[in-house]
Parts: sequence; C-alpha cells; structure tokens
Amino acid sequence: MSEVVVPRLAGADRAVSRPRADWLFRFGCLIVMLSLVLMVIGPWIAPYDVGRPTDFILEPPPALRDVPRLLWLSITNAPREPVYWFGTDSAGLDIFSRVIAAPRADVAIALGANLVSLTLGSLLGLAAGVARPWIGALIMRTSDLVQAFPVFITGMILVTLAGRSIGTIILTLALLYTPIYVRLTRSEVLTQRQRGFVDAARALGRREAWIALTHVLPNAMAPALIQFSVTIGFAILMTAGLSFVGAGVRPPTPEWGLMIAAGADQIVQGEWWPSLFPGLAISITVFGYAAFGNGLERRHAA
Amino acid sequence: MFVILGRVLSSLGVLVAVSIVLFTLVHAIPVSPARVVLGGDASEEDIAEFERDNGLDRPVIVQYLSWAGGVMKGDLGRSLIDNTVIAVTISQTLPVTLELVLWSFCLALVIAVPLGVLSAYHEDRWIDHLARVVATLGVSIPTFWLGLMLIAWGAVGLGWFPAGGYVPWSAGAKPHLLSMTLPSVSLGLYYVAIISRMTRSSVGDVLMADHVRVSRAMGLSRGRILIYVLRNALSPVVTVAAMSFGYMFGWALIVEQVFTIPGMSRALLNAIFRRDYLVIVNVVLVITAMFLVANLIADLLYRWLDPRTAR
Repeated sequence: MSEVVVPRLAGADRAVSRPRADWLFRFGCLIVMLSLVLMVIGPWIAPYDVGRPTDFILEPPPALRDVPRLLWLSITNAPREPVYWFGTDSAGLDIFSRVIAAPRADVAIALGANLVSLTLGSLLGLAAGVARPWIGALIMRTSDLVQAFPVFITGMILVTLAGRSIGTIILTLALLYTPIYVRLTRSEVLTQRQRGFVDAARALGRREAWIALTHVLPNAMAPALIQFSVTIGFAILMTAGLSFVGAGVRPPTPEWGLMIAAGADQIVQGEWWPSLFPGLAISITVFGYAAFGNGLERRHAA
Repeated sequence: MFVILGRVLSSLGVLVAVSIVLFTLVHAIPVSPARVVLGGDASEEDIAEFERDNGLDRPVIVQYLSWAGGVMKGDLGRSLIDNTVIAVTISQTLPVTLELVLWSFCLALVIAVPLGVLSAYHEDRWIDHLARVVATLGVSIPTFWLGLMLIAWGAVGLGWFPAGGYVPWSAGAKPHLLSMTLPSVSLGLYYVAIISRMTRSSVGDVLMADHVRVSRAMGLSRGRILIYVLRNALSPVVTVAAMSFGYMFGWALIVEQVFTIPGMSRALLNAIFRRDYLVIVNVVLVITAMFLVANLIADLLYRWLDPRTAR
C-alpha cells in the first residue's frame, strides 16, 4: 500500500507464537482423541447397562466432598454401595454410563456426515475450479441455494420426513455442510492450479483430469481439512439439537441431546443433574474440536 | 441504485428457488397427510378421496403454481390438517419470534462490539483473555442446554425469572421483560461469541493501519481516533451481524421450545410431525425471507459505511 517501509507494530505477528494457544491446542487434541476412543469403546466400558434401569429413580449424584472417598473405594475395589457418579434419571438409568456411551451416536454421526461432505465437497470444489466455466457456475449457484436454507430447520424437516434413522441424519448433515467444503476447496484450487508443478505435469503430457486429481487436489485440501475439525463440532451441536426437539435419533439410544430433553421436565422441580452432565459433555467436546481446529489453522498459517 | 435493485431481484430469485426446492422436497415424501388426518386404519378409498378434495392428486407442478398464485394475492393457503388459515397462524406467531430475535440481537451487539473493541485495544491483557474465553465457550455451549441451565439457576434457584411461558406486553412491561430475559440471553450468547471475535480481529487490523498511526502522531484525541477506527472496522462486523440475525431465526425455534414461548416453533414442529406440507413451506419461506432481508439491509449499511464498495 505505502511506499515507505515502516516497522511493524509489536504484535503484528501475534498469531504465530503464543504458548497459551498451544495449551488450548493440546487440550483440543486430548478431547478429540478421548471422544474418538469413547465412540469406539464407550458402550463397552460403561459401568452400568445403558438400557436397563437401576433400582434408583432420580438418585442425585454424590456430594462433591464424598467424591474423593468414593473414588478411592472404587479404585481399591472395596465393597461399597453402588455409586452413580452423575446420578440417575427419571427412568432410573445411570447417567454417567449413558454420557460415555453417547459418542457412539453423536461423534459417529458428526464424523460420518463430515467425511461424506468433505469427500463430496472437495471433489465438487475441484470440479468448480478446473472444469468448464458453466459447470463451475452451476456448482457454485447450487451451493448458494443450499446455504440460503436455514440450517437447523431444514435439518429438522429433512430428517423427520425421511425417517429418523442414523443414516438419514448423516446424509442430511452431509448435504447441509457440503457447500462449506466446496467453497474452501474451490478458492484454494484457483490459486494452486496456477503453480509451476501443474505446468510441469502438463508439459509431460498428462491428462487434465489426472493432473487435477493427483496434483491440484492434494495441494488444495489444507483449508478443508482444517475446517473439518470445526465443522464436526457444529455437527455435534446440530445432532444433539435435532434429537432435543424430537427430530433426531430415537430414544432410548444413549445420545446427549435426548438425555437433555429427558431431563428438561425435572429442571423445574430442582432436579438439575439429568440435563447438566450431557450438556457439559457436549460443550467440552465441541470446545475441544474448535480448539483443535483453531490450533491447526494457526500452525498452517505459521 | 441499480445495484440495489439487482440485489433485491436476486434475493427474490433465491426465494423462488428455495420455494420450488422445498415444495418438491416435501411432496417427495411417501407418507401422505391423509394418513395423519384420517388415522392409521383409513381405507385406500378414503385416502384417495381426501387427496382429491385437497388437490393432492394433482401433479406437483400444478399444486406449486396454484399455491404460488395464491401467495401473489396474499393468500398462503390453509392447513391440510386442521384447516386453519396459514396467514393467520404466521401473523400471530411471527411477532413473538421476531421480538425474541430482536432482543437477543440487541443484547449480542451491546455486549459483543464493546468487548471486541476493548480486547483489540488491550491485546493480551485480561480483558482480551476474557473475551477469548467468552468467544470460545459461546460457540461450544448448546443453546437449548444453556436455556435449561438458566432456568435451573435464575428461575428455580433464585426465583428472579419465570421458568418459561410468555407474558404479553398487555400484562405489564416488567413481567413481560422478565419473561424475555432468559430466552434472549440463551439465544444471544452464541452470537456474542461470533460478533465479538469478528470485531476484535477487524479492529485489530485497522489499529495497525497507517492512517491510525498518523492520527496518533498528529495528537488526535483517543475518542476521535476511535471514531475513525470504528468507521473503518465496522463493515465486516455489519456483515457478520446481519448473517447472525438471519441464523437466529433458526435457533430461536429451539429456544422457544425450551421456554414454551408461543412463537413459530410450535406451528412448525406440529406441521413437520403431522406432514402439513403447506405450513412447512410457508413458515420456512418466511424464515428464509427474514434472512435475505437482513442481508440486504447489511448490504445497504455496508455501502453507507464504506462508500468505496459502492463503486
């Protein structure tokens, strides 16, 4: 902009080095890994059967000052009363078991939906960047149209009308999130296809489609992959929200949104625990995925 | 002027395209509303008769055109299930939803913009860290859960607010505002996060611009510089705020469910569960229209704030 060289102000490169941010990134990594592990083994390591009621209905969680003693008892495997760490809900189900079993639904749906939309979106984005102009325009206008729909409401309608199964939820979320990846990949493809290695491959006589898939696409995936983590967070919020309004996974599947909805009626009677813990689980998980994604972005920019 | 006209026309085009897609979509579903009205044990003839009476046996394109023709004349049609006039349903429920969204939007702006400006001015001080924590937490907490926890805290625990329900203005300003407080906070927090983050990065960028340095060197007062900074930094904030306003309508419905507020959510949810095609299409179109109008207004504001974009 200006011809005069001015020293940059302190903090101009603020995004690059900041130990605090790195801590957030590590926390994010930890949460992401934990959620993936629980997605696989959660239902197996739950202390109680997630579908069979215990004998205690709306048993509150143990008081905070008792927790260390109870933890010690359970570590040393001493004989003790059964402990319901997060209490039990109005059907007598153990909330802790259900909270750690729920990633099998929430995280799996979010991950599945994003894998589908990442694949679809990056291929369409590539096509929009390298194919004939009218194909690109068609893809971009379709993306605009999909994004004009209100996300949550459209999700609600599609899932309910198509049948509330895990498969339809995954496909619905995938459809709604694909435009994000199309946009990110396309804009990166537009800069990458100008680079020297593309000309080099062309000079070697490679076919255009082959160049696009093997040279341009792998180099243009970074923004989409960074977005992947953040969008998984959105998708978890969305999955839980859909089942909260009764337009998502069916009960009695252990799922965070359903658990919050089941506890909603007890809130007014002062029984807060059936809703509190699943909501905390959602917040921490989404926070973790966001922190992980932001950390990746910073590293990529540096 | 022509640019604005073009924008209005393209928004209308989007609206028409959305209505066509929606209409096709809800009609592609195998379950007929006749099943819902007549019950599970209705015979095939009864269902066929119901569909004939309500014009559901016509081709989808004919149904669309007859509905669209009605909309041009201000007639949105009637519910297939209980025969209520859809325009009446919407005119009764939209103001409630709109009020909730407006309160949340004002709340979000009033908190987010100063927070963003302060954290950009005091980079890496406690206010900046606080803003970052608010911004990251705000996008991670589910709106509906926050609403429930606010009920547990503010209504059940402290007893300051009603636990839900909607008190109309006619019952007095104070009870009305109290009944809107918790819903507005739970809907607004997410947008406090988004708008404050945008404000911070935008103001931070402008603070490093040459003209700000020159203004400082010339010894202008902090207040005057702040006005110049805001004028330059607010354009992206306006865009994000307008999009937020549009998105709020979607999430307002879930907040209305939590607080049992008689806005559009109940109408829409009932319509979805009962396969009431026309109500679904109309309500979603109204919400999409709100989104498009918010973006149009943002566009106008943008031109006013930054005449360079008007060209």
